[in-house]
Amino acid sequence: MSNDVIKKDKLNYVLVEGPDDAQVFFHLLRYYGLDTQVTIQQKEGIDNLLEALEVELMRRAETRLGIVVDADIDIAIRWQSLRHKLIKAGYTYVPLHPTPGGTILKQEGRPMVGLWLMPDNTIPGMLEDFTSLLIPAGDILWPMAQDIVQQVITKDRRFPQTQEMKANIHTWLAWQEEPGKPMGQAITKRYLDAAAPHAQRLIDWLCRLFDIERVQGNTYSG
Amino acid sequence: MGTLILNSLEIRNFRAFRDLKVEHLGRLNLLVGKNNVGKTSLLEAIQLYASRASTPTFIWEIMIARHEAKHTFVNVRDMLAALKYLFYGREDIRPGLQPIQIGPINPPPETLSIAIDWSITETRNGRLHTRPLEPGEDYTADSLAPHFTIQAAGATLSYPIDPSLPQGILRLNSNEIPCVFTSANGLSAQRLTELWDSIALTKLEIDVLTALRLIAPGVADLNFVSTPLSGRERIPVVRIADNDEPLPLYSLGDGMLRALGISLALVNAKDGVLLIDEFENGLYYSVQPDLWQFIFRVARRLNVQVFATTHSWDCIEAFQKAASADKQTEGLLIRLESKKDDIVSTLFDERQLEVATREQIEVR
Repeated sequence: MSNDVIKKDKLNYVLVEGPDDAQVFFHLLRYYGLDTQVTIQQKEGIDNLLEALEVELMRRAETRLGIVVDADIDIAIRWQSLRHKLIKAGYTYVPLHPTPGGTILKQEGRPMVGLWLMPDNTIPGMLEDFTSLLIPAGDILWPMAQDIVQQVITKDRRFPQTQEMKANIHTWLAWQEEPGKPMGQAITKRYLDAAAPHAQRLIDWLCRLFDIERVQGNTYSG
Repeated sequence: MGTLILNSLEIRNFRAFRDLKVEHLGRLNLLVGKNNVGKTSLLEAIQLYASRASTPTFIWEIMIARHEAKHTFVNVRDMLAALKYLFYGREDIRPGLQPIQIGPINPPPETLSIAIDWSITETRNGRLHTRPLEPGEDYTADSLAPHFTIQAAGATLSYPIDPSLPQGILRLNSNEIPCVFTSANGLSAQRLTELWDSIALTKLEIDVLTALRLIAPGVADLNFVSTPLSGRERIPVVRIADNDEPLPLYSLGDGMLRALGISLALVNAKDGVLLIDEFENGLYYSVQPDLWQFIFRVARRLNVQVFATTHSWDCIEAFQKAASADKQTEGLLIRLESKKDDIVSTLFDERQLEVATREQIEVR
């Protein structure tokens, strides 16, 4: 009744872990012409995101909420912590494992929730693993960048093993036309391929979650 | 610390509420939600509840305030047409309509119930016999006068729905709960004066001055006087620090007027309920945290339960700050939201409200 009379507003949010994730998302959405339809909020880290999730899920029921987090070293553990919070918030059907194409949950009286575990809902990893999947196939510098990072001997390494992909990506970014562009801008500069299949899968999930249509970048290239 | 007038709330068949339940209420309750979702209606419901239907005109007072009823009716048909807006679904007023019920969840003796009934007087075996009209019977005959059947605080009352009823101040029910409603546009000059008169020369004056000083620290004193310009009407005037000449409070801006209205309403609601519609109106964002802290403090001292509505994020943040600063007083955010043909409530306790403001989570 009241909703018939009063205008509905767009309430599409993507919650991400940090500023790098937010940048990548922003540029990816812009490539697909979706940036005006989605609000990206970065949550200052996974712990904070998980802590605030209870209240995030108390937004109005017409809200749609995409939650994008790193799978990190154990995808099952990360999924369990999310699943537990969703069940506690009243989501009655939360699958035991993440859906490979991105999970979407509907619950009467609650926001529709989408979950994406970086890089692709199936393997451990983080944002940088996802962006590495957007490096054009056959790129000549990418094997070299990985190689050079490998050559840093353990004694001289200043980063933990778990951050290796980060080191790879930023090494590779340092060798582009404009060295040292952040990952997000590397999408707009076309160093990274926003039309890569992995990017399209992520965008497909977002479009399903938010019930929106892509404006451009409409074809699978690979 | 006193007990709360309402520790939970259930409203049935009133305006947009088919059956609204608010499981828990705090001493201070901030209501949010989109337009037309029933925030003001919830305040009105509490106003009706507090009135305990103590005057025959209790129901018309809220309708006049909403421009849904005229001050004087000429016939019953117009009165019934106006009452349509009060009942869920806006159906025609006819026999068998579900009564409005307002009160805490569960204990029915406390609940206010408002029904509209018709009686018919018939001759049976040579005797006059009066009985209520059944649903489906013709109720349109002029001879059948409808009346309110009211249950309030355990008593049953009956008021005729009759345009010739005097708009008196007759009090039939002595259980009335003190209740002051501050509408979105503030209080009328007359109402402000009444509220001032009832606390003038008491210690409560100090609370009102404290509130005014949150906006204008130089305020030394307040009074209500008639001036050559105001004619017979008394208007609020303030003395500023060392200035000899008092200034009309109206000349100091909307924020002062709002602070005056809210603080006068608050101190007049001792052991009762304060209702504030659109709290933020006229208030600069930076004064809101102080004003809320003032309300938390005084509400606890005077045992007032507060219900305020807002659309403003600044107001939510200010409320949250005051709630976390005042450990002894519970502040609660209540969101109303439509769900199919119902309105449902979501409660945010102080911890959840802290997360929401810190993380900029849209809770409205």
